[in-house]
Amino acid sequence: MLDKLANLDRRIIYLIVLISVIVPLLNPMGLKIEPSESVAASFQTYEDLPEGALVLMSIDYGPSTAVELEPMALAACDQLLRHNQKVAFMALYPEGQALTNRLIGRLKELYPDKKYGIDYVNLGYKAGNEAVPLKMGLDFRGQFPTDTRDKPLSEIPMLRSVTQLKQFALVATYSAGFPGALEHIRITASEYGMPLVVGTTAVQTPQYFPYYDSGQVKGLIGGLRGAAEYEILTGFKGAAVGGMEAQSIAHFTIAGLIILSNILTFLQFLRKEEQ
Amino acid sequence: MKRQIPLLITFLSGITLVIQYYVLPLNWIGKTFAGWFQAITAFAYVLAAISLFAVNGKKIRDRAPGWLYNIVLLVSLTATLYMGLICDFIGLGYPGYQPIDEGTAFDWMFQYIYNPLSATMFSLTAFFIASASFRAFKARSIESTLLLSTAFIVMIFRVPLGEYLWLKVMPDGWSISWFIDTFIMGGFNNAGQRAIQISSAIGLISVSLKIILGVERSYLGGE
Repeated sequence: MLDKLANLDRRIIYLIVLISVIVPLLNPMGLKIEPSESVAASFQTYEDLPEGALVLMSIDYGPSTAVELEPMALAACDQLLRHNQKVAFMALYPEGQALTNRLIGRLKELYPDKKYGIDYVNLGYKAGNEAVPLKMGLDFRGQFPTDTRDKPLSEIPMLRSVTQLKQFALVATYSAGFPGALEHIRITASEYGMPLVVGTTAVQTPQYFPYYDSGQVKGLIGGLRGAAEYEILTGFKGAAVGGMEAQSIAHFTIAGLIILSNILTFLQFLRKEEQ
Repeated sequence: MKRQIPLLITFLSGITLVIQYYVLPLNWIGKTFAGWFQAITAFAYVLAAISLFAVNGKKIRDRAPGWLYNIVLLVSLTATLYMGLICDFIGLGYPGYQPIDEGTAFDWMFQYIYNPLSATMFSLTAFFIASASFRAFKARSIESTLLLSTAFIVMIFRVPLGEYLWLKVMPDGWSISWFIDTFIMGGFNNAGQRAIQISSAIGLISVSLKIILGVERSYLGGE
């Protein structure tokens, strides 16, 4: 019996995990989420921007991590447009441009009165990894001569006078890995002194904490938890808060499985000692 | 000569870039190199596509194990290339629109094929992680027990249900989130991450110097 449990069929484990994710999604518990300091700092950085401020938002994730990063990017965009600020999207990730289109699609639904080119613009993906933020700081117009519709920046109302990176009030990156947050921290924030907000996946968050601690990053939003905290702060009704309940139960399930496996190992050890 | 010329190019490029960083009037060199680097990176995509055709084509020709999957890959690659590049290039695309724009066939492929497939593949890791944790996360030594306990605290109490249970049991003012943020993430994690990042940066400088000076030549292949 002991050995049978210790070698539990992986399909049973898969089934347990599946149930633990589906049940809370179907029956929300309405658990309270307390915003952490680093997420509150991100929120405040956006809040402190003056009306009409220009924000450069780097969409550096693909569909695999969109479930964590898209809710935080969407909540931030909502916050910006609500305060009549302007967003220019760019991407260091190849898939970022298509996901920006999706983000813009949602913004069009939420804010039908906001116009492309006046309130938001898509500058698209640029190949070159760390060379992109490097060149962006040296010659912004050279790096982004047009938007994704091939319209020169000089003809886009919100970017007509923008020739330098310094003219943006804030840079934000929602990043799943390389290239993304680290390139923006090293170059956009450290080299060019731009205020930077970082949103990242849960597994990467510990890597960026030292940069938040040192002040190189103004705010840090980590994983679905961070996105849920951000939604609470902004009052935006997105997908993250609901997702956190499923994550809660899934974490407890995995923790339970770990405890069970350790108890079984201990009992097997005792049995071996007795023999 | 076949090895000496690349070594010389590497040496001159490396030394020039180091010098230009510290000499203000020479900063334009760095700017030019950044442009070249971007062009090379973009060209790498072309090279990668050619390499995919070559490697998978060989496997299909040799009927290597799983060659049917190689066919699926090449068909997908060709269809994506056709929709995203060739179709637009030969004028059959959407005049006035980029292939990536909303509503195009390429965008449809991205949103309804690539997007769900990619999300599904990543979501599957949750099941593998659960199964792997059950089999591998064992407290067999002091180090593994410490690691397991820390992971356990973060996993349980960084989610709303854990916080809710903690507040139900513990007296007012005993915040587990504060403990995790201040001691685990802000303390142990920051110290460990800084050590890793600083040491890997020093390691990177050392490897870069070896490459610039021609001591490390493995990137040339053959050795």
